[in-house]
Amino acid sequence: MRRSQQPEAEGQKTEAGRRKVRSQSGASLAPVQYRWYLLFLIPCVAMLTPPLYNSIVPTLGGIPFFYWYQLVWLGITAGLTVLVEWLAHRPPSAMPHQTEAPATSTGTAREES
Amino acid sequence: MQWPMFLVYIACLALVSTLGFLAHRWNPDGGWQWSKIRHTTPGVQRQAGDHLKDKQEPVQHSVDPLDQLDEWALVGRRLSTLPLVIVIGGTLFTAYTYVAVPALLYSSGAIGFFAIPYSVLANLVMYTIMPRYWDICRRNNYVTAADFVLGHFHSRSLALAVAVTGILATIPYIALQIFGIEVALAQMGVAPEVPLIFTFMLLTAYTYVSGMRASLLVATLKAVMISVTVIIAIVLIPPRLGGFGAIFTNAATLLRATRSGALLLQPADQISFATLALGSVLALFLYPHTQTAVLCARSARDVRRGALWLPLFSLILTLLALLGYAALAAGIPQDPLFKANVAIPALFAQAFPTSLAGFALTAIAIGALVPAAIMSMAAANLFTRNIYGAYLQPHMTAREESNVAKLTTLVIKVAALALVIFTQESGVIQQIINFQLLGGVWILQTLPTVFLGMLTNWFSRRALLVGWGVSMLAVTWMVLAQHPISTNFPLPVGFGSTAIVKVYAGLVALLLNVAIAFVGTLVAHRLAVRGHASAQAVSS
Repeated sequence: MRRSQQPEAEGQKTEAGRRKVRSQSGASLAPVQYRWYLLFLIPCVAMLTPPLYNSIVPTLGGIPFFYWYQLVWLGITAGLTVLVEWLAHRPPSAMPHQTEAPATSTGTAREES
Repeated sequence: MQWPMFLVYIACLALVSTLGFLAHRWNPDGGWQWSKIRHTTPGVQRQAGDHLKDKQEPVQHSVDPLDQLDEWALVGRRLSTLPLVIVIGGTLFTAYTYVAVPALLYSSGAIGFFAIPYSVLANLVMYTIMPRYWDICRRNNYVTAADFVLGHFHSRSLALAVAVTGILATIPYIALQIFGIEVALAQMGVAPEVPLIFTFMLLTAYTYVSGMRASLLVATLKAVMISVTVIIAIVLIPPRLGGFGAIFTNAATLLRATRSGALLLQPADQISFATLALGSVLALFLYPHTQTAVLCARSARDVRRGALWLPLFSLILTLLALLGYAALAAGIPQDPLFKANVAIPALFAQAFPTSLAGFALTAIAIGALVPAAIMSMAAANLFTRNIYGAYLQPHMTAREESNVAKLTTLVIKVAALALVIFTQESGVIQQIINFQLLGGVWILQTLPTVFLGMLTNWFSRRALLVGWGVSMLAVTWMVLAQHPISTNFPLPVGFGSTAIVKVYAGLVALLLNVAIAFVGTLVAHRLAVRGHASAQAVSS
C-alpha cells in the first residue's frame, strides 16, 4: 500500500481537526463472511436482464409475466437478504451493540476495520 | 370545492404539526420527556457533537440537546432497527415514487416498471455498502459524505465538489416534493397555493425546532397512512375495473391507441430499462438525504437489519406502480397542468368515497413532507459543514453550527417553495423535473470518490477530482443536448456504424469517470514513485 494508515491518523489532527475521534472497541466482532454476499449477484442478474422476462405469457391471475416475475424476485431477494444476514453474520449473539460499548479514545481511528 | 377532503387534510396536518413540534421532547432511548430537559452528560451522546472541543465553552447543563448538529439532524445516532426503517423508508419513498412512478406506467407503459428492480436492488446497496459508511462516519463523527471525503483524501476541493453536487442534486428533489403536495391538494378541489404555503411554513417551523426527531414521528404516521391507503386501493379498485386481467388488457389497448408505450419493453428500450435501473440503484445512497437517514442508526448492525425490512416498502411501491395501469384503465384523463402525474391522486379521488379519498390524498401529501424535511436537513448539513464551516466561518461552536444548519433549512425550503409557486406554468414544472433528472446523473458522479473511497486508499485525489469534473460536464451535455431533454442517451454501438443503443447517460458518464480516476491514479503513482526515486538520488 502506498499510503499507509499514517496519513489517515494525521488527518484526524489536521482537517477533521477538532473533531473528537473515538474508536469503538469493535475488535471483538465476529469475522464477517463476506463471500456469502456474492449471492446478491443472482437477483442483480435476474432483475437487470430484461430479455429474461420481457414476455406477456405465462400470465398469473391476468398479470403478464413481465410484472409478476419482478414481484416474485422482490420476494426472493428479500428472503436472500435474510439468508445472507444469517450466514455471513453468525453468531449474532456474540455481537454487542456497538454504541453501548465503552468509548475508548485512542486517537488513531482507522477506517479499515 | 371538496370541503370534506380538505378538512381531513387540515386535521391530519394539525396532527403532523403537533407531533413535529413536540418531537424535540422525544428521545430514542428515553421516550417522551415532558419535564424541562436537563442534560445528563453520558459519554457517547455528548461526545458525538463535541468535535469543536477546543473552542467550546464547558458544556452547560441547561443547554438544549438539539443545539448539537448530531442531535438535531441525526437524533444523536441512536435509532434502533424499527425507527431507522421508518426514517429510511420515509426518506426513500418520496413524491417521486408515489406520484411519478405510477404516472410513468400510466403514460409510457413498461419502462416505468424500472422502479421495481431499482427499489429491490437499492435495498441490497443499503445492506452491503451503507453499514460501512455508517461505521466510518460514526468513528470519525462525520455528518456528511463530504466530511468523509475531506477526512479520507485530505482534499478540500474534492470535498467541496461532493458537497456542491449533493446540494445541487437535492434542491430540485425538494421542489419535486412540493410539486407532489401540490398535485394532491389540487385533487382535493382547493386552490393549492395558500394551503401549500401554510403547510410548508409549518413543516419549516417544526423541522427548525425538532429536526430529524420530527421527521421520524411524521414518517411513522406516513408509513401507516400510505400502507392503509395502498392496501385499501389494491383491494377495492381492481375488482371494480374487472380484475387485473381486464386492467392490463385495457391499459394495453389505450397505450397502443396513443402510441405512447406498451405492456412490454420494445427491443430498443431493454438496455435503457436495465441501465436506468442500475444507475438509479447506484445513485440512491449517494444522495445526501438517504445518507443522512442511514447515519441516524445506532449501529452498523441496525443498518443491515433495517435493510431486511425495506422490501416491504418496495412491495408498496410495486402495488402503487400497478395502480398506474388501473388509472389508465379507469379512464383518468391527463391534467393540462400536472400531466400524467395526476394519475394516482385522480384515481383515488374518483374511486374512493369522499372521506377516504381525503385520507388517501392526505397520505400522499404527508408522504412528501418527510423527504422534503430530510432533504433540506441534508443539504443544510452539507452547506454548514463543508462550505460555510470549511471556508467562511471555520471556528464555530457546536451551537453555532447547529444554528447555521437550522437557518439554512429555512432558506432552502423557502427557495424550493418559491421555485414551485412562482413557476406555475407547466413548462417550468417540466424544468424542475429536468433539473431533478440532472441531479440524479450528477450525484452518480460522486460514486468513485465516496463508495470506492470507502473501499480503498488507492485512488489519487487529483485523479478523482478530474474524473468528477469531466464526467459532470460530459453528462450535463449528454442530457441537455437532446430534444426533449432526456437522460436516455443514444450511444453509437461501434465506430462507423449507424446503429445506436439508448443508455442511461449517468451510467455512461460513470464509466468515463471511473476510467479517468483509474488511469489518472496510475499516472499519479508513477510520477510519485519517480519523484521519490529522484529525491532519494539527490539526498544520497
